[in-house]
Amino acid sequence: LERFKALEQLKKEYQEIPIPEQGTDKMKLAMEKAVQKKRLHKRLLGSVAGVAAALLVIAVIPKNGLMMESANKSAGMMHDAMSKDVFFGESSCENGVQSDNADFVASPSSQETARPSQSFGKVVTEEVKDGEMTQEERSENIKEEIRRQIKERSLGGEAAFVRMAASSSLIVLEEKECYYYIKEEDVLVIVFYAGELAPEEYGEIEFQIPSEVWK
Amino acid sequence: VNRKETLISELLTTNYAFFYRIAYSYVRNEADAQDILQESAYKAIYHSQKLKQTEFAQTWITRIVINEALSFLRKHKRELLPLDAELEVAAAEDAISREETVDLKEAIERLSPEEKTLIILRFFEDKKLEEIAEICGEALNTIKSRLYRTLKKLRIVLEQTEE
Repeated sequence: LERFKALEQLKKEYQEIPIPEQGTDKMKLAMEKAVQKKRLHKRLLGSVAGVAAALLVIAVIPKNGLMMESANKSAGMMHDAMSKDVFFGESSCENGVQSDNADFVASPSSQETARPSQSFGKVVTEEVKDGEMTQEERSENIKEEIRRQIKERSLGGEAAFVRMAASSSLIVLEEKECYYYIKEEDVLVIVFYAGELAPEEYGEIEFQIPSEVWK
Repeated sequence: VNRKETLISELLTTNYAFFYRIAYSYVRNEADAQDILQESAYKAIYHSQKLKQTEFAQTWITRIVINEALSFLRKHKRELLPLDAELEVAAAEDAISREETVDLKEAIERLSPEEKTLIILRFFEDKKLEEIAEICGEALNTIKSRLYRTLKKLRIVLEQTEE
C-alpha cells in the first residue's frame, strides 16, 4: 500500500511539473520552419522531377542527335537544380512523376548520355541482352542487397538502420522512385531520404550496389 | 497549410503541457525537454502526410515525442539523474514516508526507457492500455505483460493498480 501511495505521490509531482511559458512560442517557430522548408522542397523537387521525367523518357527510347542534345540540356538543368541544396524528402507521387514500372533496375544506357551526377526516378532498364539477368532478377537482386545492407548495418548498431530494419515502411522499396547514380567500377548508388525507410529519420542514406548484383 | 498540418499544429499547441511533461520526465531538464518538443513538432509537421488516420493524430504525435525523447537519451547517453530537490520537499510534506517515494522514484529512473514509458503513460497520464499499445506500436497483450513485469520490478502490487 505504501508503494502504491508513493506512486500516487509521484503522479502528483508529474502533474505539477512547471510548464515553461515561452515553450509554445518556440514550438510554433519550429512548426513554421517545417512548413516553410516543406514548401521549399516541394517547389525544388517539382522542378527537378520535371527535368528527371524528361531524362527518363530519353533513357528508354532510341537515341539520336536530337535526343542527345535534349538530354544534355536536361542534364545541365537538373545539375543546376541539384546544386541548390535540394533536400529529397517528399514523395515524388505528389509531383506527378509516376511510372508503371515498380522495379529498381539500373540503366547503363542512361549513363552513356551526358547525364548529371545524380538522376531521379525509377531506375529504368535497357534492353536485356543474352546471358544477362532479366529485369526482374536484377530488380530483386537490388532490393535483396538493400535489405541485406540494412540488416548488416542494424546489427552493427547504427540506430537509423535498427529502426529501418524494424519498420514496415520498407514497402517503399517496391514502389518508390529514387535518386541514383553510378560511380566508378559500375557501382550503382541508390540514395534514399531516410524518413522514407524509417519514419522520423532524417538525412540521406546511400546504398551501394556492386556491379555483380545489378549488371 | 494543409488540413493535416493544421490539425497537428492545433493538437501540439493545445496539448503542449501534456507533451512537455512526457518529454521532461525522460530528461528532467527544461531546456532539453523544450528541444525535444521543438524537434518533434518540426518532424510532425514535416511528415504530416504520413499521418494516415487523423483520428489518431494525438497518438501519432505522442509516439513522435516519445521516440524523440528516447533518441535524445541515446544520443546523450544519459546517466541516472540525481533526484530533484523538489521531490524531497514534496515527499516530506506528504504523509507517505519520504523513503518510500524516493525509493520508488529511483526505481523508476532505473527502468529502461521503454519500461518508463509504460509507467508514465499508464499511471501518470492515465492512458488506457489500448491507447498505450497504439502509441508504442505494440500488441495489447505485449503491453500488458510488459507492464506486469515492470510493476513487478517496482514491487507494486498489480491488484491495487490495475482495474
